[in-house]
Amino acid sequence: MKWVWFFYGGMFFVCASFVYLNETDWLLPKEFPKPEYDFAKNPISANKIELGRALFYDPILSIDNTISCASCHSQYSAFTHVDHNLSHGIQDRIGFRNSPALMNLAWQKSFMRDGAVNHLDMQALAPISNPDEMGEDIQHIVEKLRLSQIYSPLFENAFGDNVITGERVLKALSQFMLTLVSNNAKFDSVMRSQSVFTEKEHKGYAVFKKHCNACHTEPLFTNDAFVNNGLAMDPELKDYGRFRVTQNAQDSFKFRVPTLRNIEFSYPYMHDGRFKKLNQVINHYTSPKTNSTTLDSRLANPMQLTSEERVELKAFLLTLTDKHFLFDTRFSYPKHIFGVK
Amino acid sequence: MKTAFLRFLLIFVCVFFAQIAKAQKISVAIQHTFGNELLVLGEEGFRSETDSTLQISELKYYISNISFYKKGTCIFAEPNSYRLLDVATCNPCTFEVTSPKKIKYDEMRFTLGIDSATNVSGAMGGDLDPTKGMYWTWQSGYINLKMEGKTKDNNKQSKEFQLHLGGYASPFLAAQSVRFQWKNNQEIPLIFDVKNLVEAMNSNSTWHIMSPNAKAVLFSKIAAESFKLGIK
Repeated sequence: MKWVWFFYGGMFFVCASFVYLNETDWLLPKEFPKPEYDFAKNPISANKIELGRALFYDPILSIDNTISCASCHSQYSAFTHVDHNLSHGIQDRIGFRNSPALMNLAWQKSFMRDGAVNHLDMQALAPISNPDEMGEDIQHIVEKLRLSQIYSPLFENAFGDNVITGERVLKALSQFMLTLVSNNAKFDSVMRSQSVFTEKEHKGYAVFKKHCNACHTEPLFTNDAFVNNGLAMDPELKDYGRFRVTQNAQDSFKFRVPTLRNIEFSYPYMHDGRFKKLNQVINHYTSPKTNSTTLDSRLANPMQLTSEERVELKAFLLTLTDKHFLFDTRFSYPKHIFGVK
Repeated sequence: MKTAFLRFLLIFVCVFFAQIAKAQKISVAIQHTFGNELLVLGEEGFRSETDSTLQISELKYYISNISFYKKGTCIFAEPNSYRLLDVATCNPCTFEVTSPKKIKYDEMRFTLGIDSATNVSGAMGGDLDPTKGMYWTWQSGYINLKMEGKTKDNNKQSKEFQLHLGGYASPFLAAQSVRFQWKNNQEIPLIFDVKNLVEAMNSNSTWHIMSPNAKAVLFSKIAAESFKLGIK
């Protein structure tokens, strides 16, 4: 009789442990490396994701209630600001950098083009407080949310009570952003042997591995490093890149290597959006670079590509488009919370 | 079976209350001054003889990692030890540290500011919540100490100064360790005299520190050295 209870008890714990271990499995593709984000400090739950999604799409985060995160991070362009070299925030004020595409954020060690932000939870504070973006303040946002009818039940569902704090707002936003995982492009299905490249794409992959993979390393298509890729400094923007954060001259003109996933839709390109087309990007790499003591040594000489190789490389880059990600309704504007836009 | 259970419960209750009875509350009081005068924030505040413009409109800082030592060995470190002291709401500012058992200490230590590990741990609540206005938004990191006001030697027309001291990454590590020899089990009386910080601004011609840099570290050291025991 006693042994039966031990057996059931044991089975319960085994099953419970699987639930715990698999809590984040659906967010973490097997083929990706270990994530940087510490999920233990912000355990994932459907209700927190829901709350984060509402906050992401809500212009209540801006001082005049006109600009939401989604204003500059639109799903259909891989959560960047399509067609805008520099984004505009409240009152059409212009910022000084191109909005980065948001995906696979759990694998980033730092955030913003210059790595100014050291943890995903704290990233939202930057656009929230920037006078050219949302012009707000997290304390005031919390006060606005407390007065809103929509958020009390969302916080209650997410956290067990309707207390609204800066910590909870930021952690909920993190949870939604952590769900933005892109790993279902044609490239991925080829790697999983579910599909095959065309001949052009296959050749393009070889060109990519020869010339680009060192920084845009698969499967994330970024090594998350800060690199000076030889762009001339824009004389108006005067952007020194990571130097601004570290005050270390060796970091001058270095910017984070962005992911190439969904590159087809995340134009314009580079930290200030100076290139509208992929051809311009490839031209940049096949041309001499702006001389600088911090120029990456691997880019000292222009990339040598035949005209066929250019076509092939572009064909390969288009295999990084993940339509499942771009059209996944789980990441879209939450009509069920806010009503139809 | 029932008797055994009741005996167990009795022992458990006795041990539980015995543990609570042994817990010790250590009281700390920090008085904020300008020289020998009690600091009063704002325009109606104290008047310095040498600088009638001088006023301190804001003074907030973090005290963290409070721990107690005996002969150089740590005997108790307060868990989750983070407090934001806002002189606009208290002067002196008093708080209690609870040790689970009685301790005989001869030294108290704390960090003025937030340690590096906490700075990279993401969003946190309570006194570490970013709504407290002590977190840089454009670049990660806690502001360990914020002091704002006016001083006559300031080259700005408004005479306003803003010291936002922080920095958690090498080479600008602003958090400072503060130590006191203290044995008496009565309330620990501390004084934080901001006169040194004001004089440092004027002697360095620096009235704005808004990011992690060498001056932030220098001023943080001066702030740490501005704590002393208020022994009468």
